[in-house]
Amino acid sequence: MKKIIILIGFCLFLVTGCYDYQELNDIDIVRDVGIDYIDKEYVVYLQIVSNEEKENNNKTSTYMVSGKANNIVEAFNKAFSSANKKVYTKHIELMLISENLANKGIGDVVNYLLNNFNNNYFWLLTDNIQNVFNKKINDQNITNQIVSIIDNKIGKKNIVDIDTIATCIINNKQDFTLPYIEINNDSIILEKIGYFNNNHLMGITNIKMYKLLVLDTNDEKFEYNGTTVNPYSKKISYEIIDDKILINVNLKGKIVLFDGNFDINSDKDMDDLEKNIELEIRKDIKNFLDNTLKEDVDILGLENKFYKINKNKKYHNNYEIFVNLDINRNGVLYEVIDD
Amino acid sequence: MIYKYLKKEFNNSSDLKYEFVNNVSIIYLESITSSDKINEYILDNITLKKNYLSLRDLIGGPSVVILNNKEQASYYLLNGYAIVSNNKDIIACEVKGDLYRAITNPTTEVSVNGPKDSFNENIVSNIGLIKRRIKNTKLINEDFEVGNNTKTKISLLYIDDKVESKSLKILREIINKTLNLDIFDSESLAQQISSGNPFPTILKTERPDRVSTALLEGKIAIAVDNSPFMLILPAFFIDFINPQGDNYVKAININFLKIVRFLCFLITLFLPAIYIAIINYNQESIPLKLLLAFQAGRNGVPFPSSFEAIFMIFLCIILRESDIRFPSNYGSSISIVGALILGEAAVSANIVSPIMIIIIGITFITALVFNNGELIDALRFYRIIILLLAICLGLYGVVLGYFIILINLCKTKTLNIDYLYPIAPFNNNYFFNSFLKKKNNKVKK
Repeated sequence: MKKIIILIGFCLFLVTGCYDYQELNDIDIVRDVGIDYIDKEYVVYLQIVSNEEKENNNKTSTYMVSGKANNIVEAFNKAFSSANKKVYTKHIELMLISENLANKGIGDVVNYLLNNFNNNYFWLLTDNIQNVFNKKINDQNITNQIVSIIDNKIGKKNIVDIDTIATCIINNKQDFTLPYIEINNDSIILEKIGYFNNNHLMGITNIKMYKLLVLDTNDEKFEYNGTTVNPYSKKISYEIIDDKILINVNLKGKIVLFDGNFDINSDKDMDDLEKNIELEIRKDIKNFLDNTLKEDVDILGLENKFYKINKNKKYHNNYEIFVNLDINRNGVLYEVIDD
Repeated sequence: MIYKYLKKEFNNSSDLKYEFVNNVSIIYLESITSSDKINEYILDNITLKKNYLSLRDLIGGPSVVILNNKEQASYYLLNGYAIVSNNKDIIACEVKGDLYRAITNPTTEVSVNGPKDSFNENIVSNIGLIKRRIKNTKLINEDFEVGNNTKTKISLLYIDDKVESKSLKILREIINKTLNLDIFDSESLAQQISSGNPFPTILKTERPDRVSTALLEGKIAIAVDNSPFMLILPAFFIDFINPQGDNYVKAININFLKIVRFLCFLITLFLPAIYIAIINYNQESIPLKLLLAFQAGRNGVPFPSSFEAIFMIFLCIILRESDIRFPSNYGSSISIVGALILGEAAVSANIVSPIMIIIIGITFITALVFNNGELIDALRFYRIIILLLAICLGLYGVVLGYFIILINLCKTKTLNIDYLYPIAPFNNNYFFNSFLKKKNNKVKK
């Protein structure tokens, strides 16, 4: 029995081993990756991060390496070989892709990343990758701030991961979107999304309606005549009646800002406000859907929903939108007491 | 006559004393007898009482034995008796000297609550401390004499209607096999009884209340003369985790500590190995910020982290050993030197990283939660094995080490009962008496 145990123990040491042993001092940790497509060549940027002890304070320092080649594998290999130490890619936080690459198609990139990288990073779209990587605010690289802005505005769980992207590309039943980051002076702007069909970028639009219809965020604001309403609760449902998709948007809102022209004690003013904001939201949703559907991009997955009901017919932009806004009046009723 | 025989038997030993008073010979070993008792029980009587019928009428004292022949005399002499003889009779009178410490506070099992007495080297007083607590006629002590040279008295204590007869039988058989063994301490006997497993299977205690509690649970205690530690059998894994002081604290308060102690057991065993596995193999399993902090900590350290860990562990073992062996008066200076070497100097000399100091510090502090030396030794043994596995195989090695320990614990038995009792096999009553403490039902008013 002892001989068998010794033999098994010996075999266990043989089947695995120190081949993937790497000291922390001997690796370069990649935090952000950017992929561009310039002059028919892939350009890969790796942002490498390390902690430096300066005057008893730990400070994060970064440096960037890049690789350029006519295929993605070569480009990554060149970038890896430009680093000072062995590159470690299991802690990537941001995956930035340029508009150029998105227009050309991200199939190759997705294929490479699926095979070689983990999938716990944020996908972002931007117009200039170098600008994002080189920008520093308060002597600190801005990629940390980008992550926190994404978390605040969209929520980490709402960012599509590589598995979802791959599924969308393969199934071609539903399309996906990526947040679009812009750098303007010292501010990071996240107001747009890029929408994709298959693996190509089809257009860029405002993120507001996407957040209202798709995400579970409640920080959107709608303004009418100087009064701002925030829908703190929403319920979106889809029905199919007579080969037509009915999109029901039920919102509960609260007034967050109003000017002197608006009387919050007046039921008429309130009703007018509700009605007009409903109209505005309906118009915005229609614009949003028309723009995307024009490019044959189905962000809401309407085609998929329709297909489940009626497999023989195809959905052709045949939808109706109903918006119902109910402003909470109890909390805003008050009377001004004269001195 | 008898003196000549004994003088020859003891090879003219210098402490063999002989007095001849009123035609009565008194022989005793000066080193183990009390001169006061010899005066009181023997000499006073012999000098004052001129007319007596037999020698037995002359001798006082609590323990007097009439010997049949002179060959028996050596045995009694060695056990603290004085041999009194006239031409007719030979009598042994117990005049043992008090060569024992007083009953003092426990030193190895300190507890804030509960009794403060502990055993000393006198088996009679040790058994007395138990019998003072359990006033039950079913509490039995069964005596044996072990050792060809030492003739050490050992005593099995158990409560007749609670003890498992099978365990008692096994224990008797083991002791009968070791009758020739010379022992000076209960540990020598424990080594004969216990298995080769690094984890202790016999509980050594210096607290009479702990032995009493164990006896009431149906366990067996072994008292050994000249040893201030009693042995408790069978002892399960969980008995070594929890101290006796738990019994004197409210259940609601102590249960949290019991869980913390168990976590400490896991931390002290696995922490250095997990750290080494994570920073050398499985870096993806910790957040980036922590990984960067680890990387910054290791900047400038020329040695591999595995060497660092082994170096630090050995340094701590050496420090602990020197702290234990060195006279206590110098102990504080050793601690200061150790702390300086381990802390400030090693880090500033870039020999080890500050994080490694923290890891090893936590490892050793969590080990100090347990007061059983054998358990700490077993933890050290397995800690090094798991660390070596982690150095070679990463987290896979840690899991492998975990299973090695688990299998070892599962197959270990103490007096033919599973060591992991009451967890495997599960016993509800004992589980809530050991692993956790059940809230006592209030006495109805």
